[in-house]
Amino acid sequence: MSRMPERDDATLLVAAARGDERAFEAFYRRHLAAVTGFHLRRTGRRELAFDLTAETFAAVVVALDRFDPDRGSATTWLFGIAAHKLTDALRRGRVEADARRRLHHAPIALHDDDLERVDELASRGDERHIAQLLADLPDDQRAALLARVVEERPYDEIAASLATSEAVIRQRVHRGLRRLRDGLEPTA
Amino acid sequence: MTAHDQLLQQLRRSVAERAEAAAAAPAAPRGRRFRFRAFRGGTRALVLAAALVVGAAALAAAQVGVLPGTGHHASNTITYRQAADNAARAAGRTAACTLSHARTVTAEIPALVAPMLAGRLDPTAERFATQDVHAAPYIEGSARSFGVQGKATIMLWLTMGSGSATYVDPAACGAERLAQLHRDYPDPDSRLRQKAEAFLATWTDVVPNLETLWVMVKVPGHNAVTGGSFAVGPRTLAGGEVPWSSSSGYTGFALPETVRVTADGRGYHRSVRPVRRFYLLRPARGTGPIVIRERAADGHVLTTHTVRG
Repeated sequence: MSRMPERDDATLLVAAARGDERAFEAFYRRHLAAVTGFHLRRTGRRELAFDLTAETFAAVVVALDRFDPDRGSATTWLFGIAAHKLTDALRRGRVEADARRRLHHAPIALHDDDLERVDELASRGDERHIAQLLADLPDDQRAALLARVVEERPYDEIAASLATSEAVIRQRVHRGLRRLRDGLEPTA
Repeated sequence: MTAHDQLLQQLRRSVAERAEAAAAAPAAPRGRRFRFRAFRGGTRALVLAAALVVGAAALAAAQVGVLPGTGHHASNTITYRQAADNAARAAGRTAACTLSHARTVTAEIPALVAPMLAGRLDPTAERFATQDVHAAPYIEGSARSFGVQGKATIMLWLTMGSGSATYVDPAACGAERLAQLHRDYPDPDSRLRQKAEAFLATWTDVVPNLETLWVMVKVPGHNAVTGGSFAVGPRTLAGGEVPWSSSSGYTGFALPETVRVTADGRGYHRSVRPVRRFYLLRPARGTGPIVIRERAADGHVLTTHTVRG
C-alpha cells in the first residue's frame, strides 16, 4: 500500500492560505510539540505556554497571506512569530489574545489533563529536537558529550578510551553543549 | 474534547473562513501590491457592472434567506453549538462584549470563600496574581498564601469573571448573544434555535458578578507553579476531590467537614490534615494507584477517590 508523500511546510502554508483546512492541520500537528516546548522552556508555566501556543498559531492563520517561501523557511517564520508573541507577553506581563480576538475564537478552559498534555508535548518536542541536534553534531563532539553527560564517565576515562587528552575531551563537550544550547534557542 | 482539540477546531474554522472571505472579496493577485487599473469600459460600464454584482448578491441572499456575509447560516449541517458560537462571535463586536482591561477591581469577598481567605493579604501572592496571564481583573485585597504539606505554599486569590475573560458588561453581553441568535434564527419554534439558546445559557462567562477563586501551589525545588481555578459557587466549591495533579504531586480540595485525609498505596501511607481545605500528597513516581479517604472528626469516611500514583 503506498502512502501519500508528506508535503513540506511551505506547501502546507500556501495551501492553508487558500483555505485548505487539512493542510493547516498537518502543519499544526507537525509543529505543535516544538512550539509548545519553545514557550514552556521560556516561561516555565503550562497555562502560559498553552496560551502562547494558541496565540502563535492564531497569528499564523492571520498572517498566512504574508508567508513568502522565497524569504525564508516556514520554520523560521513560525518561530519568528512565536518569539514575537513571547517577547510581547514578557513585556506586558500577560498574553495578549490579539490574533484570537481577530479570529473571534472563544476562550478555551484548561483542565488538568490539558496541562499534562502541554508537558507531554513539550517533552516530545524537546526529545525530537535534541535527538536531531545530537545527530547533527560532529562525531567526536557527540561521542564526548554522550560519554560525559549521559554515561557520566570521568574525563580522564573518556580521554583514555578515545585516545586523546583530557583537555581535548573537555573542549569537545563544551563545544557540543554550546551547539545544543544554540540549537535549542530558535529565536529566529 | 481536549483544549488542544478545541484549539485545532477553532484554527481550522478560521482557515476555512479566510477562504470564504477571499472568495467573496474581489480577487487581488496574491503576494503582490494592489495596483489600481482604470476600467476599460468607462464610468458608465463600471456603474453597470457594480449594479449587476449587487443585484446578484441580493438575489443569492434572497434564495438562501440570509444576508450577504453570513454564509454559515445557509448551511444545512450547522449544529446548535455552531449556531451559539456564531451568535457569540457576532455579539463579540458589541460594546457590552468588549473585554475588560481593568487590572484590579473592588468587590466583596463571598462568604463561601471567606474561611479560605482568612488572615492577612500576602503581597507576594498579590504580585503573582496581578501579573498572571489570565487577564481577568484581580479583586483587591483577596490574595493569601499559606503552607501545606512538604513545605509547599498555596496561593489563593479572586478574580472577577469566569477566569479567562471578563466583559465590560457580562449580563448585557449575554443578552446581545441571545438577541443575535434570535436575529439569525427568527423562528421561535426552530429546534436549532431552542437548543442553541439552552447551550448559550450554560456559558458562565456572562454570569453577572461571577468571581473565580485561583489556587496555585508552589513546591520547593520546582520552578513551575501548578494549580487552577474554581468559579465561586456552592456546587463548584463543594470539595471532596483531587482537582490537580502534576510532577509536584496531587493537590486535594477536601469537603468542609473533613478533618483528616489518609492515602494508601503500595508502600505509601500518609495521614494529613487539610489546611483551609487543601492538602498536598507527593508519592514517589511509580507508586501505583493510591486510595485517598477523607475522614470526619469521628473517623468515618466521608468520601474516597483513587488517583493514578
